[in-house]
Amino acid sequence: MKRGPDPKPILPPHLNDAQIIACLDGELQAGDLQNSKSHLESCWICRSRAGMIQGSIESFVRSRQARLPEPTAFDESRVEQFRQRLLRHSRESQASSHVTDRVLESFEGWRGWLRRVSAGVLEHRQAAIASVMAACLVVVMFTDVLNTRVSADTILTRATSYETSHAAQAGQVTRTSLRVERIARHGESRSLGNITVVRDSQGPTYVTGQTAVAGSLEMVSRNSGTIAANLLHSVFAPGGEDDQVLRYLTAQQWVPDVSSASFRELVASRNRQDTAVTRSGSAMELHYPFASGHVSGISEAMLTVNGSDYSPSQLSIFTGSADQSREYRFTRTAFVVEPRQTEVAHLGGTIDLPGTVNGHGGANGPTHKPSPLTYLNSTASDQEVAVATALHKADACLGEEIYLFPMSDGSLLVQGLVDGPARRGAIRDSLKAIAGPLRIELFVPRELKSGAELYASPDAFSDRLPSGGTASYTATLADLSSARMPLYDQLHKHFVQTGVAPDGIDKQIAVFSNEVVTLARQTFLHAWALKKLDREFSAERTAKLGPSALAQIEQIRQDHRRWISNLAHEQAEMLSHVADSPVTASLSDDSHTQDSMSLLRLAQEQNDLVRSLFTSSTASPETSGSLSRLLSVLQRMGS
Amino acid sequence: MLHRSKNVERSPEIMGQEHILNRADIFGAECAEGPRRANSLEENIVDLYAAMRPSLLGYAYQVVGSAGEGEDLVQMAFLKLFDQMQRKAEILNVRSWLYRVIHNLAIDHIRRRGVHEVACAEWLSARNLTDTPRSTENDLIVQEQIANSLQVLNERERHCLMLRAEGLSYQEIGDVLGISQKSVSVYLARGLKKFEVRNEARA
Repeated sequence: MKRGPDPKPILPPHLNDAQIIACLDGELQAGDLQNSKSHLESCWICRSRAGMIQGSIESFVRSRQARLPEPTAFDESRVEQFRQRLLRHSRESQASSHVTDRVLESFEGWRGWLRRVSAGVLEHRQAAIASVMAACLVVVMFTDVLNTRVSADTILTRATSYETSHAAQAGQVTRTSLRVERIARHGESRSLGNITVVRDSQGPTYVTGQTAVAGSLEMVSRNSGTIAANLLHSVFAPGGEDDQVLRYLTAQQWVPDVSSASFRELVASRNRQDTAVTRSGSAMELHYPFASGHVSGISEAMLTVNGSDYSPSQLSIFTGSADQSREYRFTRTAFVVEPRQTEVAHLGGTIDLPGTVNGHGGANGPTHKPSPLTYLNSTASDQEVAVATALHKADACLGEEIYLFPMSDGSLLVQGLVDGPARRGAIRDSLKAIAGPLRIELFVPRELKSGAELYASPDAFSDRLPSGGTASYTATLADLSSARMPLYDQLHKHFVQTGVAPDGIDKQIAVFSNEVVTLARQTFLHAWALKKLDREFSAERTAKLGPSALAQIEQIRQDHRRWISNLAHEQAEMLSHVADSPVTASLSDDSHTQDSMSLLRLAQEQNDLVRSLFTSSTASPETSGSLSRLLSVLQRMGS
Repeated sequence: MLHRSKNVERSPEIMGQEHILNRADIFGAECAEGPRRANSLEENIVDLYAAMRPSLLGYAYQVVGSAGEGEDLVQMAFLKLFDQMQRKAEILNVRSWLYRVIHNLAIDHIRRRGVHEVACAEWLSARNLTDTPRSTENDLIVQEQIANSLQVLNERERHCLMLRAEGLSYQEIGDVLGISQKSVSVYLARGLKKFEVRNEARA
């Protein structure tokens, strides 16, 4: 059926299928719907078409009914099945939603908090920055305070660890040398001496003191309270302004040492708890103040340790009030580790190295260079006796600065100063036959720029011996200008009596005087050598020597005694002619054998008397009495 | 029936859960079997499912050609509706929303099967196998004719006619299929024309 537009303009056009269907479905707009209905009522063609379309719709609906499945008995159960499915789905979604909600809620909470904080910070930016800075400062201050409080004891513990790791191992001894100073308030420093602490790996610790005040060298053991007190006495003068400190430390039996253990003993009863640490360059100073009015009179003790390895380097004791404080400073000057075998017999002795500050010997490692020992911390050996005998035969024991040093490595060293190469060659020749490790260091004066190249004498006794003169006389040895010689008149008279020509009398007087002075000097040197021999080969040092070595030593002694006797006789013989009266009466009184010390005193006296009588002098001694005394001394020596 | 559907499709658009509860009956669902259960969202959804299940299942069944699959699609659509209600999402027209969801699920389902073109053939074979006592020889001939006549329709025309037969307005059909009301009108006219010509030819 084709329906085109009505050729007659007065008739409305026919409706198409879509319009008819829409009209039937009521889907047209109000105006269109009305027009369409009017047209259908008036137009048979369109109404007929509408009928056909309605038929098709009914046909389709019927086919739909035919397609749909028949209702079944399961439909009711379908609803219940859906309910269960929905409930399961609901529970699952709730569980997941709870988690999600919590996450979202917490996120929202944090986001809100962050938003508030950031908003607050932005709003009060300066206040926030100031608060952060203040908090940082507080933290830094607190940290520093805590560190300081802890580190004083901690550093002391580390110092102990250092000492433990550097203690003497098996077969070793450590020797720590200390310099003792007293420093007044204005920085005036006065050296009080040196102390050496010897720690033996297989024995007790020994402390040796050599002090300028006492001028002596004493070996003390740590357990010897008396000698420890003596050592303290040499540091803190008894009866002085720090007598209180001396009494306290003596009661505490405190032994001076630069070590953490000694420091702990010192500060154990200070009755205070606070400590402080300050840095002084690379070193750290541990301050342990004492309680105010402490019985010791000590105001503070301070230990200085190395900042890198915590080795103790200095210990100070501060005394007195603030305006009159005094510091007793113990400074470690040397620390060496040595083999033990040469130290076994006598531990102690000093390593006196003035000016050499080697407070961290441990850091430098053990020192293996042999060092000279003293007679007190070494024993004599056969080789040493042989060398001494050889030197004796070469007359090297008579006044020359030649010493025989027992060394820390067990060797021997002959060191000294001689007049010239010839004398050096002669001494070397005499030592050629000596077996064993022997070093010879002989110098002539021009080879030495100072005395530093030479070791100090192995015996402090040697240093204290006069070189022949005494302080009471300003004399010149063998002064040939005899014009003011005290005995000039007597000698002139003597030579006149013996028939010497007048023009030769002065010369004879000079020769005579020179000879007497020389003899007196030689007598003294033999007596001095004899005394030195007693110390060099003392009973302690020769305890392990064999009979032959002892015999050699005795032979040397006898040689010196014989020379002393002969020289004394020779002098007495010469002087007896000059003297006005004989002195034989006194000879029988002192005929017994003199010990070396007595001989030395006599020799020194005769030497002094000779020099006073036969050399020009400003003083004017009573000549007859002096000569008589000299003859008496010489007779005693010659017995 | 079209008139009745016409009244139903004029039902006001609903928003949210309260509207569903108050407007459930206007969808034409006879859901009052016994007292209502707890006044919860789940029960409201179940009630709505029971009311709308025959109509929705009919459309789903015609599209996918399987009662079981159609039933599953309808339930899935209601589960989605439950989720939407829980999220308090805004749904202007619950019926067209449900049809659109079922339509899309069905299309996806058919495409996954790859047999969307033979949906009617399956339906026919299913009907033959399940020969019901009600079926007579004449009915079987009619059904076969209908099936064959549907095959001359394209997908759009078939869907428009099916949805219109379920009582949806042009606007709702356009919402479900994503086309304009004018296009719905044209597809309906063409579909009916083809259906009519096919029937005349068979006659």
